[in-house]
Amino acid sequence: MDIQPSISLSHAAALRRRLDVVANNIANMNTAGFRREDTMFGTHATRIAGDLPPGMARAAHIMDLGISFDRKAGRMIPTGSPLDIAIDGDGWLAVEGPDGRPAYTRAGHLQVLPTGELALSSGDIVRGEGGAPILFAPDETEIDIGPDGTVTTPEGIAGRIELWTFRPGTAPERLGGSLYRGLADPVDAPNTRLRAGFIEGSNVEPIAEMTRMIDILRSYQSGQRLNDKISELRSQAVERLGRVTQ
Amino acid sequence: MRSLDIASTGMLAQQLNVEVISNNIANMNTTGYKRARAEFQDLLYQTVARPGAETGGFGQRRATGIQIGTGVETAGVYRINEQGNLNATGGRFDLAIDGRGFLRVEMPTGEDAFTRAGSLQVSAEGDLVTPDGYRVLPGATIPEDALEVVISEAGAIQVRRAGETELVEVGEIELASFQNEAGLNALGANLVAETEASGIPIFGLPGEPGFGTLRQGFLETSNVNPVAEITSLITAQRAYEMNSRVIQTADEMMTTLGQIR
Repeated sequence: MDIQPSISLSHAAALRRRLDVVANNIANMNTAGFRREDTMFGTHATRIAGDLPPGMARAAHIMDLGISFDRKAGRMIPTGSPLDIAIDGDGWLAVEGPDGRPAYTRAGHLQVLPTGELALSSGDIVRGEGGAPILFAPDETEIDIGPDGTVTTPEGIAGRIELWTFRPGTAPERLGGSLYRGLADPVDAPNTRLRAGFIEGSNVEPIAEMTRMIDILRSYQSGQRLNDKISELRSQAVERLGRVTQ
Repeated sequence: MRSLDIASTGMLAQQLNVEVISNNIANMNTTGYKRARAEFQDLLYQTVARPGAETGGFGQRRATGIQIGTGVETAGVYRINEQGNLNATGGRFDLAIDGRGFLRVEMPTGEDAFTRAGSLQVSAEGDLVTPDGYRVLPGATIPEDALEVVISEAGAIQVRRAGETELVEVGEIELASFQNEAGLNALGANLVAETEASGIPIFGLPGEPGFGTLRQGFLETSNVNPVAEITSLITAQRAYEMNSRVIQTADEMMTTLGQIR
């Protein structure tokens, strides 16, 4: 069976997926705490029928293995707001996800809910030590977040923001809204610190994404050109073979 | 192609970002203006293959899933309530708040609004009013023949009338503070109003714990940092351009597709 069109198809499909991922990275260039994503492709080898020398009798399709995300830190953007926190080191804030289960984020733009809990700007409540929310009385106005996550007001310590890290080798699931979910353990590493008055930007490198995009486009075009050539070759073959049999 | 939609969400987000930045720059010299910042978050993800899904028949599992993002959305535009600079004007009724707190003013509707722009004036009735004529609460009547008006750091309004040598206290200025200042609703004209998110106003005298002090003869400038705004403007413009490049690339790929023979 002619296997070339299906390989070409797998090539084109993979490139389109890659462009989707690159487009999402570029769209989220200014999203706080965003982690750059990349596709992971593998080959799926099939045997080609017929009498061919060993080593050549295989065709390789492109297969989508998964999408990885880059854990490198983004740059720190000073905002001057005492309720903006950036995490220095591999730590994630734990919040009460939309379905009540914990979710993790690095986008540390916080607010105080009318009910007094410390929450993300989206309204998801931040989990303090032991999963308990950090509560403020209505007249507590000066909130200060220390490097170790201790939240203090003039009335005393209100609680501590606990940081978590994903277990090595696991792949957190993305929930959207800058939230991630996965198996995580609390960090007590002293080299992970909170910085109030800063927001962590995304770790997308615009230049790298642009080159990736050009690469995708050219690769797609050359793939299609190859298709054209092969179909030309095929029609020529048909024509010539037809001539011989006359 | 999904990339087209993704890039369009990116362009919309950057457009909003530019709008927020241009409003900051426009209000660079507005008394008591607090700069705003747009915050973005990634949109929901389409799961093609879940992480941990079985791949082979022998218990192999996917180490990473295939989740495709669908772009970006605006999470919010929030105000940054950092203190602006105090600018000496020498104005008799110019008040700057050094620290936390807002002046309380009465809107024509009878509702309360709050402001940090303390360029006050005296109305025909002798009331302290904002430039728009809204009364500052709790009110104080400045006598017509007042020669000297002294407003202390703690908010006491003292006047010396013609023919007198002593200062007499005629009223005081109260400040209001909120738990979540970023949650206040901007009404325009330098005014903000309380919302469910900001919490109820807590009133106190200037200088009390949790409140700033008053400075007569000073005005608080906006807290816009022009250099930072221009830098963010350039970043936003570049991001906008790059998103449009994604659209071009997707378009070119579709053109290639259309040329298949």
